[in-house]
Amino acid sequence: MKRSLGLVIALCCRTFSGNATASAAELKPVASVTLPCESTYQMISPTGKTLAALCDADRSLRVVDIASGKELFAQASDIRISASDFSRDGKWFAVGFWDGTVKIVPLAGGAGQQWKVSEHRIHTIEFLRDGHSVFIDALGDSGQIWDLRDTAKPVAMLHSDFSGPSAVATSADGKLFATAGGDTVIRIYDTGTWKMLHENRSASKLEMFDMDFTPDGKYLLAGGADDHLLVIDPATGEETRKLGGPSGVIDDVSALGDNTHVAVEYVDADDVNKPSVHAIWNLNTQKVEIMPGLEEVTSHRMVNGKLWFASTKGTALQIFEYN
Amino acid sequence: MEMKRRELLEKCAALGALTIASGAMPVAAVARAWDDAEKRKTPTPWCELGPFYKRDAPHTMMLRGANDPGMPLAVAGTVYSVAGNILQDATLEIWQTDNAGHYDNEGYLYRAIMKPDGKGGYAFESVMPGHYPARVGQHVHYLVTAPGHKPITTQLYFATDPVFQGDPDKNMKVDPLITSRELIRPVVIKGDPGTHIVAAVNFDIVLEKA
Repeated sequence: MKRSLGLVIALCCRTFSGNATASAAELKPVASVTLPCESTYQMISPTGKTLAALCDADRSLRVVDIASGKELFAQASDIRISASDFSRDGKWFAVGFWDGTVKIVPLAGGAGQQWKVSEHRIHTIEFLRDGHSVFIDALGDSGQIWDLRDTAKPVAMLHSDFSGPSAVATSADGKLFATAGGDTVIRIYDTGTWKMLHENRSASKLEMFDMDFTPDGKYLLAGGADDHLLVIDPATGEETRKLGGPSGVIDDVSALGDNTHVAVEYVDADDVNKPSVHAIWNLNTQKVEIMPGLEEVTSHRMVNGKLWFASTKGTALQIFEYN
Repeated sequence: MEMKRRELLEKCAALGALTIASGAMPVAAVARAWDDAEKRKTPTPWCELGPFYKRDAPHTMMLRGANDPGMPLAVAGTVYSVAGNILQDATLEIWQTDNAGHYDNEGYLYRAIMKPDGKGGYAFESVMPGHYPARVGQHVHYLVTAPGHKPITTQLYFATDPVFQGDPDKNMKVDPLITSRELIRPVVIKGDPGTHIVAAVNFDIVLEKA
């Protein structure tokens, strides 16, 4: 599941549109909220209680409570915002900036932390499952793990041959952390020691954009520019399957809670204004189904093992759950 | 004839015009240090890798086919260390779009790996890359590595790119991914307009020590 605004920045202001007929049986409305601004990109928190909206007009980032619509936090874009993430419990929010600065704020109010991580743009921020650590990728640098207790301090540097590990995933038990990125290498780390356990240099020749573990930890799933969904055995780091289906660059990989299905977003690299394709892979049958469409899909997120989609019209946002 | 710094220093010292304090470096060493300082080069500015790097590209200097559409492009340069020494053992990986702005992710069109020659020089022939919706400026991606040096990812841009409206100094910010004006290189049109012309660009690469 992606924690960067990388493609959003690169692609600017594309809109997402479903490419198939919506099925009422498969998409259940779960919430609606009025956003503080018009937004074509949002991030729903893992708890499903809050979301962050990137405002189209001024590129500010607004975090709102989904139930009440109350604004909990606003980040102006005087320095361009390039990444963000919610902590797993939804209590903290992280923002990365174009100038290499990172800001972590408590959404209940109170003092946060802000510090300079790099001279380069922050590409990815992802909270770890331990509740007090965060992964930060500044483009071109090694990946960094920071401990946020008291004053933020670095605890590990995660190597890549070049460019930095921009796609990451944490196993559900929090013990494994996987990285991939521009150097095309998949690496798996022990989060207790930050020692690298496995390195796979052969699974992909093209850069990878996103990865996720199945909740049971049996598979690591990775996708990127070569449009194949890679299925990796985390115990060995070896590729077990390579699933080729819809064409396009894989921009998002999200394992569903049943340990069997995986939601994959495919983007047309040649024409980013084309609607992206959302597909569901079945890891057992190795078959893929194109997702039913929505008028304007502006966000999706795994919430309690279920796939949520957000769709906006103006400032009205609706959230649907895929069943 | 121009006199080198070292020769000038040595002559000055011989004529007593330059005093080297007792216990300090000998004149030759001072001259060498001076020469070294003059040879030093500024590292090539970094630019982000993406998108669409692909490993194991073919070893070639000819990226374009005989009938490929687009303005023929000839890029040449030298790979140096910051100390100003040539790096013959460097490896350059180059990738770009075709003239329509399309990356070949299935195959290896407009992708190449090359090694500098005995003088640290490299050169390749291609076509001027196209624009594509996700990026503002035309560009060629570079990944350059050399033993004992930090790998660099960077991008070559063209001063003739219409997005700069003839003034890259003023308009380089139209592409927010351009990290330095140095990466926007002048383009010289060479050849015979009646038969064959080529856009020629020089782009030296300077690597920092690891």
